[in-house]
Amino acid sequence: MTVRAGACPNCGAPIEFRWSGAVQTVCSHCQSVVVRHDVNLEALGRVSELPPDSSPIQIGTEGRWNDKPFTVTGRIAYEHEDGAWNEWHLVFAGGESGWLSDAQAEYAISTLAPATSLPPIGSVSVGGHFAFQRRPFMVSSITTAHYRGVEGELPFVYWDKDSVPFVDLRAHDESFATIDYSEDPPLLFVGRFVEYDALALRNVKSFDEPAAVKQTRGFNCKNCGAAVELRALHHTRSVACTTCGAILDPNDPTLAILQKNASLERITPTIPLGSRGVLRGRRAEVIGFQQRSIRVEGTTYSWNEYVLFDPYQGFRYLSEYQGHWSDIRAIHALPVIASRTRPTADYAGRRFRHFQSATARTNFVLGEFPWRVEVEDKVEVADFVAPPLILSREGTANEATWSIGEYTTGEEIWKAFALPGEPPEPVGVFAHQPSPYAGKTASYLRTFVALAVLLLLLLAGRSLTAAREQVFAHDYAFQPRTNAEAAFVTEPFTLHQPGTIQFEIDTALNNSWAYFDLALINTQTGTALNVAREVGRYSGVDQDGSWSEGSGRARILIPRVPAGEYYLRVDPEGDTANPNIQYRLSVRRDVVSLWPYLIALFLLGLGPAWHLLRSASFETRRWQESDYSG
Amino acid sequence: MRPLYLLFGLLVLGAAGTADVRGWLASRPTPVRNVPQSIRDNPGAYRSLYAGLPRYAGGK
Repeated sequence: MTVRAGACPNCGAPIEFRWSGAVQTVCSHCQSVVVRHDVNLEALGRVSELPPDSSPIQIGTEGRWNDKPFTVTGRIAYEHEDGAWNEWHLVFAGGESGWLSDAQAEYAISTLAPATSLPPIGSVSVGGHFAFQRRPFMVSSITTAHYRGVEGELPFVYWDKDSVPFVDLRAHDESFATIDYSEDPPLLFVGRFVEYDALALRNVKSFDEPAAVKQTRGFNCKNCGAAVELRALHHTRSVACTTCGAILDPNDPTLAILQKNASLERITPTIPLGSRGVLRGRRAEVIGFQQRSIRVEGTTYSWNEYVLFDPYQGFRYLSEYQGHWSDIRAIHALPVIASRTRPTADYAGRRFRHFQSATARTNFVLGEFPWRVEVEDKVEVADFVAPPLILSREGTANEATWSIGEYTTGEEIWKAFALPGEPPEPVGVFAHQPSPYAGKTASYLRTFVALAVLLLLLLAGRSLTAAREQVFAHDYAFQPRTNAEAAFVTEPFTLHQPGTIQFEIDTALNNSWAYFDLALINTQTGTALNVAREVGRYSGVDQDGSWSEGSGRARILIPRVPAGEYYLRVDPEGDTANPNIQYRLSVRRDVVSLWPYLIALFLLGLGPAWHLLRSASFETRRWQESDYSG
Repeated sequence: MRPLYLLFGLLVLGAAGTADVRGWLASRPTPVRNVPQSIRDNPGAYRSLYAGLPRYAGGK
């Protein structure tokens, strides 16, 4: 049984291993690395004090992951040319060991994967594909990190490293893998990127007021001597002096000037640096600003980007273009690109359509950045849209970073940062601006179908209840060749109720015509309503086959006929080639007219049609700004 | 459901039913008043608006 507590072999200070699986700890008194054996403790050497960092996590921080509570018991600190990061050793409630990676306030949890055959580092290149635990991964970076120190309890002896080669791999979801080539055989860690809030961390360092003010770091610009303030502390990789524009490396002991002011013009950010607020439920402080541009077909399009920082949540970004804003954060997953005529990118269950690719150039910078920024920086960018989201890729063919932005209104920005005045009105339609018509089409169509069904029911009800009473019917014959007077009057008939009546003329004509001049005459008032209708049907066979046209029947509606006694005056004419035309003449009252229902259906269709037209017009304006505007 | 559109649609439906019952949409011939009773005895003497209009008398 190994010792759980004892005295530091170097200085005698009490040492306690809080985790049963711990192999190594660091004496908090003398910084000796103390390793426990079966019966005793051994001091291996001393580690230098860890440099200060800006992580909210510390030894003793507690949290929860996958419903399992954990405690932070130790840390290994690394640095590389693009920054520093911590590997926090976690002990879960069941005694399992895990690691919480914290790089510029981006967090990932991983565990040691079972031994597997790993490729030699010489055979690994960025962009290479591997599968671990039946999941595909792509190599995103190969890093030689420098060991900075350790603290707390670790599951192995680890204190005298120098350079540690790492291969980082990413997947199509938020999974990641890291191969640690400092051991032989190398170790594979597999895990996921996580949001700070998802870890439910407690006992973290406080960056709240007034502690944040106290922790703000400052120095004088090496170029002009003006005061430069660092709000993101050790996360900042470069800072542009707000006075002279020189870009400095704040992590360099000599404050190396990375670039003297290369901007020809000075741009005043819409949101002043140092502005603090709560945007979409998350705290943010504006710490950096840059203007970038692309050139498309001879026209330069410029937009502004703001770097926002929160000591717990890390970095996010705002972009501003002609009154349109985007709330942007980096993502770790690799979207699935489908190369077709119009490429798409799939991410988080959504399909994004390619909008534009261009070379973005940095024109002007101000304040702090979590990367080494320089004026004249150029990078290939590709945007994919699925309003209100935009997925952006920046980098080269082999190595790229992805970010996702959500369309944000100027009102939200003004409110979040308590900016004076009113936000400028957006100009045009932006790439991922949500359409005011989106999502309403189905609703319109559902309403249309419901109304159409109601209309059908109304028509059916009317058809069932309409009297369709036949008030007159008689069969007649007419000889067009005779010179006798053809006009005649019918016997009187009575309409007991006012309403619409229908004349019905039925003939058995074929290749012939007949014409009926009808007058409905009220016997009491002598008022006549005159109508006329020709019927004719023709058929035959020609080189195209059989044909027919016309009809031997006619229906004539006469609305608003008052009640009363009527007779018909009929004056038929006909084709003299037809010696005898037989026809039936009848009159019905209270008949159904289809026209009001057809017109109603047309009017009902105007709503969805207008909506679809407006929606299509909005989308046309959106895509006019894309690579596919032609 | 789009409330305004639904309201518009219900109004259209109401108008359609009313138009059918009242015969709003069918064109009503202009009444000719005071047609003499003698028409019953001499129907050929009546000249309607359509008398003498050219007729179609063809086929394909």
